[in-house]
Amino acid sequence: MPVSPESQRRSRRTGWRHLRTALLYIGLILGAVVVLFPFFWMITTALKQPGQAYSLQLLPAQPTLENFRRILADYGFGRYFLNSIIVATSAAFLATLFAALAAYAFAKKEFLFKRQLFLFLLASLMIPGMMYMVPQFAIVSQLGLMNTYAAMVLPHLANVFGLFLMKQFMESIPGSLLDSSRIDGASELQVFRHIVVPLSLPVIATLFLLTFQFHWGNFLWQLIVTNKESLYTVPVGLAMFRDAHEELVTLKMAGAAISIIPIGILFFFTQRLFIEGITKGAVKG
Amino acid sequence: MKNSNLKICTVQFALSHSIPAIFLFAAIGLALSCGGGREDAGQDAGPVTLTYWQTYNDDENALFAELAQEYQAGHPGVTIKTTRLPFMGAEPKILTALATRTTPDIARVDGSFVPKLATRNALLNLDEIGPGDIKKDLHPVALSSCLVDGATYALPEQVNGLCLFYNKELFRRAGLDPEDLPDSWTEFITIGQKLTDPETGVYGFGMRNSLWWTLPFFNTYGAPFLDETGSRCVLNGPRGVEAFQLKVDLYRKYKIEGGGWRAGGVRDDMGFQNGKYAMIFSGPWAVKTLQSAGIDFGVGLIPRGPAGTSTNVGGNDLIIFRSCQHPKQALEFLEFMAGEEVQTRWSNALGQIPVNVRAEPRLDFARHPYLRVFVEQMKTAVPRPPIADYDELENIMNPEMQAALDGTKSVQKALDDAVRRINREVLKTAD
Amino acid sequence: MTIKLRENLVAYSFLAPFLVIFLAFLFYPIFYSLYLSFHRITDLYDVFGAMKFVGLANFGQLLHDGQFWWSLLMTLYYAALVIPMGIITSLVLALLMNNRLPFRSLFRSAYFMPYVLDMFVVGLVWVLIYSPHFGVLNRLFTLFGINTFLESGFLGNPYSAMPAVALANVLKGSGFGMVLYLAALSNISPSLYEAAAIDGAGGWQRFRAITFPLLKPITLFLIIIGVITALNAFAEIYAMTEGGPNVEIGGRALGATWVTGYYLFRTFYVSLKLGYAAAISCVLLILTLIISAVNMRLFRTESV
Repeated sequence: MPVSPESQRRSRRTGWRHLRTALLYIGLILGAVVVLFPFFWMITTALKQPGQAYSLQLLPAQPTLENFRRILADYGFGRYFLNSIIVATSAAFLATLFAALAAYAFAKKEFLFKRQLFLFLLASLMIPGMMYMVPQFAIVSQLGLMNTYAAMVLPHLANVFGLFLMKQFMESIPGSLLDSSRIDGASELQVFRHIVVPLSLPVIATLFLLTFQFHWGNFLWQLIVTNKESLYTVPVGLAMFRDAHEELVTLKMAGAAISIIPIGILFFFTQRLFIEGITKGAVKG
Repeated sequence: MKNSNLKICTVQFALSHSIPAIFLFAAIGLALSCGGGREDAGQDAGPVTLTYWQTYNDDENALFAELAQEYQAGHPGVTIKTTRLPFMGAEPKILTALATRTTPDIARVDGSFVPKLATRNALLNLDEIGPGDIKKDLHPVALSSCLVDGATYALPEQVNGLCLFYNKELFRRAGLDPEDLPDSWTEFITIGQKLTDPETGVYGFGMRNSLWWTLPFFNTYGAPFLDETGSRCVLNGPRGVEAFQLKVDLYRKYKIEGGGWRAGGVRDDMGFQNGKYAMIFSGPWAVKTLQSAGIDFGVGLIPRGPAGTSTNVGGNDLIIFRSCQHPKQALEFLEFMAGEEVQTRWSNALGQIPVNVRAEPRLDFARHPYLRVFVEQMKTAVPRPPIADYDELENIMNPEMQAALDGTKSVQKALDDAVRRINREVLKTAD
Repeated sequence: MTIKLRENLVAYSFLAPFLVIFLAFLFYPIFYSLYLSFHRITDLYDVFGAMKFVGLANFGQLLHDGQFWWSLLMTLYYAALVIPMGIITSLVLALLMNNRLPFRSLFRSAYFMPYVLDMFVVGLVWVLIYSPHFGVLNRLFTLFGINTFLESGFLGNPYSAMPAVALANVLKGSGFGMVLYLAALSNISPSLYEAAAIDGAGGWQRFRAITFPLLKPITLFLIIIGVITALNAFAEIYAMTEGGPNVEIGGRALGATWVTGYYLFRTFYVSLKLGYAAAISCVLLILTLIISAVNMRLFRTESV
């Protein structure tokens, strides 16, 4: 039976579609390889024997965990890791708490100067971060807070972006829910604790994650505010290690891995929250 | 009625908001009290703790641990609390500590850093604490970096300078006698030419560009950095130009230098280890690495120029910060470290040059053969120019010298430009 | 009245922790920075107490500071590399991803993940890749016979240093732009494309006429982010080049990656010139505000 031109065109189109998909895939895979290659290389180098640091093997011939053990035990990274966790967790907790409290006020309350205050806070987003380095250091050091966890955490506890995210979310909570609980005699704090917070858990989790991630990787501030080895976070410890032992490549990569892998894993399990959180704020902003 | 309502509302308000407030302040208070706390400020009476920030490498650190223990045993009531800093990058940490008032009692710093700190009131004047009898035993060249306007702000702990390192194997291969070192710059050039073979990638010499590494050239020509009043830079005088011209010619004219000074070139110590450079300048710190790399090398004096042999001076000094609460005890420790016993032990264990001249007859040259040359070289070494902001000198001179090496400026012009800027910006004298 | 007062009090007590931190650490520092910029440190024992008032001297010195102007130039160069590279990469990735493909979310995660990582640590990994002689990239290049970077590595060569740093930054952050573009692309109704196709518009024309204009807001946003990134650039420089291999310009040694953010850091942290650093910070702030304002003005007039 002769093939109709109609079906010929159809099969050509399907063929083209398959080819297109294949090409797209190849492009995407290539892109992913390029983007992820550094991390792959970091992990393989961290697993290599020290003498093999520069070998071209894609996978180490004799993989070893010795680099990780040494950097954690002998070079203090165990302590640095603990510090990173302490700082990131407490900062994330407090920042989220403060943002939630403030966002509730903006979302659900009327008060004097509300509009102006909000614009005022929003304007602060325009200011480049580096600008704060010198004055914040001066303030913190004159307060005598050098080498304290407080100094590492305090300046970043007012997260305007987080406030914004939360306010948006909380605005969608029906006011009637709040009113009815107030009529039942609940104080403002109780309303906040028992109604607003449970309903806002997604955005709270998102903000917690985002601030945790920010503090985990916040390098510059931790560098200038800590002078004592017992307080270094992992990136700072890695910087000191790099200065003192530039040539210990495999150990350096193990240290880098210690910084990157936890946040990578965290990201993997919470990607949707991360991505949505960051983009939601950006799109509206 | 309204008043009592208001009161009740306020009380309710306060109560319902006090709990979060308490929680909040507790959290902040907890955070504030956690952390490192401040550096130990010491107590008035009773046991004394001295905090010491040091920059030792691993070998020095091991030896120091022993010495510290012995010191504490011999000085009951005194504890030495040490913090290790990386050698590079210690100075910003000290500056930060000064700004935040978290300085230790004692620190080990590079000699060039002492004037910078002293002129800005950060250090204790040691002459005001004790009689300083030990100073007469100290090598004048080592002590030079500790003196600012005649007052003593530090005690030397280690001194070094550059000497000529040469690869005996490469000498043999070029048909040269490995025990016959170039004695003068003229000989240096001749021998360098014999050693250089671009085809095999071997060069007679590899050098660095910075001011400190170029001072041996200036010093062997007797080129003064400052004039007699000490307020004008005169490095671009005839002797300075000759000295620097020689250095530039090694690369450009005689072609015996392999571009070690270039950004991206093979650095002198790396090249020496890889057999690329037959001769380099280096110091006591490199001996151990080269020995473990199995290089068959020798050390000699810097070749003679018109002013004889000479070299530069580097090293580390111990300072006491103004924040120290126990200056007398701190000074005792400094004098211990610069004393004959410790210096002898230090030199004999690590092969470093002693700062105390009384240690010299007790040095074990059999164990450290090169030490003989180092000590000999220091006899004619010339200290750095006594300028508070020494690194500013480097910042200005290095690019000018690089331009001359690159060939984009003549030696005279490069030095003229550098000196003009130094006078204007660093010494603040009119042109 | 009482109720209004009480409501205000309640609202402000909720705002209090946030506001206190904000005022102390985000608002006040701006003015404190200005104050600091009028002073210089004279004494290292009493750093803050003994600061000397010098009026506009720091700004005057800044005007004559070759390093500073050079750093602005390098920042511009950095921005000129990072912004277009970033936008194009993000856009291309988004266009690729904007198709019904299995495992799409896996790719999305892969591209986005580097964004959440710390630039300093990522930079250290790139140092390894860019190393001379044995670095991975060098080995790749020598396979094709390109030996220029063998001795210096990519970060030691003044011409390749900045592009190398920019590449590391772009690859790290392009996932962010990609997700934004993807969201916007998926909002474009396919009927628009169909209508255009019926009218005879080819793929490229459809892109130019429909896609690109609708992506303008995101592009504008990414440009502003790019400018802020360039002005704030520090961690990548500190990790990879520390100001960059020196180039010889008019008798001075200037770093090939000596951007303003890094210069600010050096002035502050290495030299402890607090007043001078504060002056640089103020100038940085003014520049950022001007550039953001100009950007917004530009794009607003165009889209009409």
